[in-house]
Amino acid sequence: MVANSLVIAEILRSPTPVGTAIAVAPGHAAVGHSSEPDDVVVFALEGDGPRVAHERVSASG
Amino acid sequence: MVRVNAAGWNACDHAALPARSRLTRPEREAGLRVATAPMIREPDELEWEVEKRSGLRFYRIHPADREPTRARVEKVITAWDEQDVAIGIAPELCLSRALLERWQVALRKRMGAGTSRLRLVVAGSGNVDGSSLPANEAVLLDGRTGEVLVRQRKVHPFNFSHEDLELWGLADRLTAPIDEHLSRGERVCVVDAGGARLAILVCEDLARLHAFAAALHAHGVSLLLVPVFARPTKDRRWERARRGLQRRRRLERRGRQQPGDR
Repeated sequence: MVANSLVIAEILRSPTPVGTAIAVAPGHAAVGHSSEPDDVVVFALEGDGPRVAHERVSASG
Repeated sequence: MVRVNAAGWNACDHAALPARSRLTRPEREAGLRVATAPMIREPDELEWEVEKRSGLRFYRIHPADREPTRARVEKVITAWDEQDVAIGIAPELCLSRALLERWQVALRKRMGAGTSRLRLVVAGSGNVDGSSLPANEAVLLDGRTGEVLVRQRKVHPFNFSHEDLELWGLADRLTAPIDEHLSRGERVCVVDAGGARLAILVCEDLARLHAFAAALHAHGVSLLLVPVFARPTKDRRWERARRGLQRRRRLERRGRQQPGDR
């Protein structure tokens, strides 16, 4: 389970939302996206692999 | 039960969480909810420092402890509580001594702390002791009391080449080659958290997973929590990169074949 900030995305002027989190399990991966620094991404870790259970995806930029 | 071989055991530190911090069987069986939050977006919310020593350059990045950063701590914890999260993770380089204290107070004093499902919080990583030779240390907190459970130092520094700085858009802030100013950790701590064993790797340590993989596998570690400071994550970047590599190799092989080879 990887958690990243938005600092480099901001420096690179990447259009938001950008991938700021990833959950990886054997054979599975799920990427969570954020636009704001307090945007929470929630993953559900279940038997059939991780999935994004919640993210606020409001495009900007 | 996992029987750990001597080499694997001796390669790691170990911590057993107190009963109140452990993940319960019903929580595990229902499917764990693990959450993240970016915490910082604006480069000005960080301090970017360069030190020259013996002809070498070292960088150090740490939170400037501005109020917008501090105020996000409570907001993120509230959102994690609302989403019934069991484990929360904040990124690398988003933690300072002052911010650690903020996390601890916010976790301990919030309404409903006693009944919250939030068991564990990686409050990001940083030089939390303010050492002159800085560590980059992730801190695992009890989600209900804010108590420090585990501290995990980054073992491998991330050093920028010219190409890295260009790729990251940092060429106007840093001059390559430049290394991370880091008091390195020595070992990874395996955390017994109930039915799950977990470990924290800080950023570059995940890229050097081969250095830890045998020991972590021997312990039956099932969850790696990894705060990073990196470029945005792209969906299936590795798969696309692998497909591209395979395509290039096919083309190279065809290019090497002579007409009479077929």
